Amino acid sequence: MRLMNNCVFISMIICLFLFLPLFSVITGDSSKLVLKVGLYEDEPLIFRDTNGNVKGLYADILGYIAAKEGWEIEYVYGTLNEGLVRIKDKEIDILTAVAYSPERATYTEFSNETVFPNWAQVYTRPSLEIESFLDLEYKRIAVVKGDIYYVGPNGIKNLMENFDLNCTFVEVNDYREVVRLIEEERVDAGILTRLYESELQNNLKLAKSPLIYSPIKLLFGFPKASPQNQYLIEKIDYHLKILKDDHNSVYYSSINEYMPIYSVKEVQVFPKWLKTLIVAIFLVLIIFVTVSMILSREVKKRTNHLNQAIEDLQEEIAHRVSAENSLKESQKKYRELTDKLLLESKSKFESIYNNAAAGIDLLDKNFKFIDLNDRLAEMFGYNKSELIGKSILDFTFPEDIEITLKNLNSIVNGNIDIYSLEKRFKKKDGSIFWGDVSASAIMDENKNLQAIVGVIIDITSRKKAEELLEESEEKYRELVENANSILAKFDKEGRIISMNDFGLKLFGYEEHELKGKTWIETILPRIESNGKNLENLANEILNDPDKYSISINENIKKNGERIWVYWNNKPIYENGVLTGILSVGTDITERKKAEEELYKANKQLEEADRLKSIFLSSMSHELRTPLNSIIGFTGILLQGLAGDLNEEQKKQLGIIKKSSQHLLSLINDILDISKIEAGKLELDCENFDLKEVIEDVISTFDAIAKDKNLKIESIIPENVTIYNDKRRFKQIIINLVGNAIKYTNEGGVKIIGEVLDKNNIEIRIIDTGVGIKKEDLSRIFEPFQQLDEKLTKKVEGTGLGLHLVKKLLILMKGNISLESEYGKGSIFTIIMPLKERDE
Amino acid sequence: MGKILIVEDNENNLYLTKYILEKNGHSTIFANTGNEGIKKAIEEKPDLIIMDIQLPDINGLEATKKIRESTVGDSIPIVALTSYAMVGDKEKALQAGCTGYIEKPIDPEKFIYQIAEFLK
Repeated sequence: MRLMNNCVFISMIICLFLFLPLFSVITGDSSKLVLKVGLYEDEPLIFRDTNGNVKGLYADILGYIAAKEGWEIEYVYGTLNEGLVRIKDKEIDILTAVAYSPERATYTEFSNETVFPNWAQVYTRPSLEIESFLDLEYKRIAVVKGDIYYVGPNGIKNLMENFDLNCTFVEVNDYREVVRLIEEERVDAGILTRLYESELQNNLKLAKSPLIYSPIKLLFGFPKASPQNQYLIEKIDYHLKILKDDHNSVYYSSINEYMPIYSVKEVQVFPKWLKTLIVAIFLVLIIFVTVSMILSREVKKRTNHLNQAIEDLQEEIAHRVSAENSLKESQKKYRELTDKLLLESKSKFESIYNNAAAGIDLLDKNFKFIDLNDRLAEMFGYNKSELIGKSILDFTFPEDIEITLKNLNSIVNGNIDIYSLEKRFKKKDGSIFWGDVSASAIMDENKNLQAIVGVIIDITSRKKAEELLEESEEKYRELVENANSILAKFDKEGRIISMNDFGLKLFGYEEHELKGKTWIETILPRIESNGKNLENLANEILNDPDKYSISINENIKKNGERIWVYWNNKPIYENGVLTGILSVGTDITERKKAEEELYKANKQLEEADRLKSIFLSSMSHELRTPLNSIIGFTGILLQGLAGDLNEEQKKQLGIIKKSSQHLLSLINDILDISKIEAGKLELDCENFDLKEVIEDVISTFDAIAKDKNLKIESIIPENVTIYNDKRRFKQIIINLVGNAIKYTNEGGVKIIGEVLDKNNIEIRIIDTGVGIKKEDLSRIFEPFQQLDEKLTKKVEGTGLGLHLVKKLLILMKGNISLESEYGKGSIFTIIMPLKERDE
Repeated sequence: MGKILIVEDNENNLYLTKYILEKNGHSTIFANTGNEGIKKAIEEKPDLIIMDIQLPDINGLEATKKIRESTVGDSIPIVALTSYAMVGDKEKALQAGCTGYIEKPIDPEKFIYQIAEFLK
């Protein structure tokens, strides 16, 4: 009976334990922890309803945990971006509905327990058919500012950039605005999440595209290095784990409410195993009671005998039970602890495994994927399931298969434990990415290969950069080696570090003969042939290379030959300290020689020029001095100052006068032309009136014209002022009018002036003279080209007049042209500036 | 009519100038060199000086300058005989202190009128 009583007691205890949770009491705490929680519109995770109440999965979870822990939640409303900024500035304690990204991790700590898995879902306007990301090129895509699916490492921005696809992102504050922009067709597509789908039920203005990407875990975020984080994360993880394990928890009821499409089927309150267990316990109890009653009679008889023994035994049992209980207690505690640790490390591992920046795979002996992490699948562009079971060689770039196979076989054969390799992989879209692969064997205790674990880092961009670098280095090397300049590098003591082929060839050295040697007495003589001390110059260059960025000095070849080099020196600084000089040198020996010759020639020219000037000035004086006497005395004699002359004497003296004046004209013309050609004729400019000068010239020809019975007419506008050399201008007009009269026997000469525009004047001298043959027109302005030989004899002239006129006009910034008809007359046209052009 | 100093090294030209001037009623004195010209200008105080530019010792311009710097100062007009067409010659002459210039070779008919102008 005693045993039966014990059994009943034990059963009652068991029942009490079974129903104990029903009586658990919620206890309150008077000193509540106030937490500021950042929230943004992210239905159905967290949002504000029309009454401003905070709703959603996160709100329910937080509400539950706050009640359990005695926290007071104070929501801080804003956009996602504002939430992230607040976390950064430590203005809030917790941010809801955030996912991990390396960028965010710089200022955020995250809870470990996943609140809900989520991924990006691309929605479009209904008329747009999207099959792949390629179709998003040149589209306008609405995105939430700061959203992980937008700017996260696997966000649409990186995705499009990696594919080299262009599109325009329209940034908004929350998903509601994304939906609105698509509905209003202000964008072509928008990035929402799969969770947002429940908000879009029966919305025909949006089309769900087949594009999804970037699966992530939604977590809680906390400002980095906040002292209470450890406590908060521990609590949130702990409660969330409990909520997720219990299908009747607020976690699942919240999912049912806000995301019915993801609801979990109602779970029976009593699982089958529990029923079975209770039935079994009942049966055991009944058997116990029955057997006990049958046995109790027998037992009673021998009670007395056994009483003592039983008492002893009971005592021993009591001891053992107590010992066992304490053992069980410690075992239970140990298991709880290990379970907790295991769970934590498992979730940490999973998070690290899938979110690692590197791809991780597990291959079997036949190099087929046993498993791979999300990152690697993403790198290949496949779903995980598409890869598992397939050989990695199928995704290896053909040219890299051989080396891959060699390495993998070495691992399988046990030759090596680990290898690393840079190789190319094929992506689903046919493109290639470069991976840095480290692979190692996983062995069991018998040293049999279990699997090969590989870590793959995408180094495509590095490879591309390397290729570009190599290319530019190659180009640079070619440039250096093929340059027709000396390229040399010196250290700060003037020792030669390197020199290009051109330099070596020029100086006649082999590379090893120069390397490490100082420049003095290898390529630089101590003293330049003109006496300059080059050793001093070299030291000055080394002391202050910036000052001597250009140096022209003599250098010396191996065979002793001196050459002149134009050096361009550039100091090399490392961390602000001079380490050497980079010099580019050009062999200018030939140029230098040419320059010297040119200098000499120039000097000679200058001397010749000076002599020419002296000659011109002397000629002018020496030729004129005797003419002065001849013309002067002829004039005196003809005037009769020295006494009366007879007719014959007068005639002969007249011939002398005319001839000497002709000679004077010749001398004057020759000197003028020589001066123009020597650049010695300077203009003496002044303002003068055109009409006045022309009429002055005409008056000098009045007598001659009357003799030949010619009419001289002029049509010149009044008040036209010309700024030029008046005397030269007059000389030109005299020449032209003189010619016209000379060559005209019937009719007359007309001078017509006309202002062309505010800068130029035209003067035409028109005669009705002999004219000029077409074939002679081109040489009329050449010296000594009086064309008609008969005329030449008849008509006096120097033969230099028109040549001089043309030269003078060019000097005066004017020009002259000629029209003529043989036998009918000529028109000389002068065009001249009214004012000096550069004035 | 006045007393005219002719500074000229060429005998023939000196004779020519002298002849024309004297035939027209002027009295003349002469010098063959620049320095002699300066000396005569100061000592004789002529009414006009006709100065050739090219002279054997110092040229006519220097001589003119020295005359202007001497006690004579600006009291006597000096006429330079310049070469035709050398630009700058006439400016140089005026700068040196000449009152005017006559171009060589001289025209006997015009010459006497030009001289009369300077004597006014």
